[in-house]
Amino acid sequence: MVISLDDKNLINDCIAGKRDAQYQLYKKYSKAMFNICLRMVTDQSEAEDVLQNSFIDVFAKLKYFRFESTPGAWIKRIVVNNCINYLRKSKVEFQSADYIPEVADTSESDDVNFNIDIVKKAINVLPDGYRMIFCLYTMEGYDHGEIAEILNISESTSKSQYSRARSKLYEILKSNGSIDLIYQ
Amino acid sequence: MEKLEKFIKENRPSFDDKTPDRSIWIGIEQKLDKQDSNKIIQLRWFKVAAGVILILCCGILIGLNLNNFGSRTLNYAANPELLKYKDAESYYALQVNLKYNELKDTTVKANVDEDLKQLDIIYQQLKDEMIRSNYTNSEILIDAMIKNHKTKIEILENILNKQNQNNNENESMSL
Repeated sequence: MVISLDDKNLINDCIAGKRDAQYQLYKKYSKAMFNICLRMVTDQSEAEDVLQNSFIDVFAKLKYFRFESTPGAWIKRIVVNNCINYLRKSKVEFQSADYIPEVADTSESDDVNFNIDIVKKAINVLPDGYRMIFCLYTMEGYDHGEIAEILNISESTSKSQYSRARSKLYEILKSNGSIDLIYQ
Repeated sequence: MEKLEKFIKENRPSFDDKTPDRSIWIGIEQKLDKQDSNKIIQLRWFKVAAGVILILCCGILIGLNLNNFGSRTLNYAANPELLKYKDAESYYALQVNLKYNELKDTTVKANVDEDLKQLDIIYQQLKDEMIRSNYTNSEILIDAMIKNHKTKIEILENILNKQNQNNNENESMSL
């Protein structure tokens, strides 16, 4: 992993408290981070709060950044943790892996047509626990080992929750006509 | 890779389509400004406290130095070596006085006075050094002081020996 000199200079300027550097860093990453917050937290104004607090955390913790990952990955981890903390406060619980409920048959038939808007809406209506794991794995690219660590659950729980989350998503997508109704 | 994951991966950038409102940065900036001003206030207090401590230290040091330069006398209680030396010093001073009083020739006396004055200057320098070094090198300095006394006594003894020889010669001549 190579971090550009520009990034290093930018980060050092941020640590020194230079406001324009802090704005540059915010500008570079805020959009991607805001969309993570929106997907995870779903409520727009809560997502804005989480984003704002996350960047305050980022600037406070930046002096501990050891360049072991890219700045983007490091910031993303802070944002993700804050989203999870927010959702935890609103009492999201993970069912353990040994409890696997019956899920309707979700064979991936060709009659499911993907469309960005519809997939987004479907993710949005997933139950919180499913949505967190689904987003972390598919959208944010964490593997099950990392998700297990982030959510403090076992890797097998992460895997089983993920497979149930995507089954649920297919279920929603198959009835996408009704999803449009939900949002109207 | 399965269909859904493939679709998301291929269209990943399209999922990040929302832009945060400008007010979010303004909020961040306000919080950062507040943190900075708290830090500055803390720093100011720190500077004031540091200044007060500095002034106190200077005051104490100046007070000590005034004391030292005022009297330029040794604090013999500063360490046990020096306390032992105190008795030696008065013994040597007495010896020097006794021998000095035996001198008769006034021209010889004037020369001796000059030498003793030089030795006194060196002796005072040793004392000053002792005070300045806060009695840390007392052993070496005490040695030098004792040598100083012994040099005085040696000078006086040499002159007195010559004086006595002259006296003897004079006596024998007069006989």
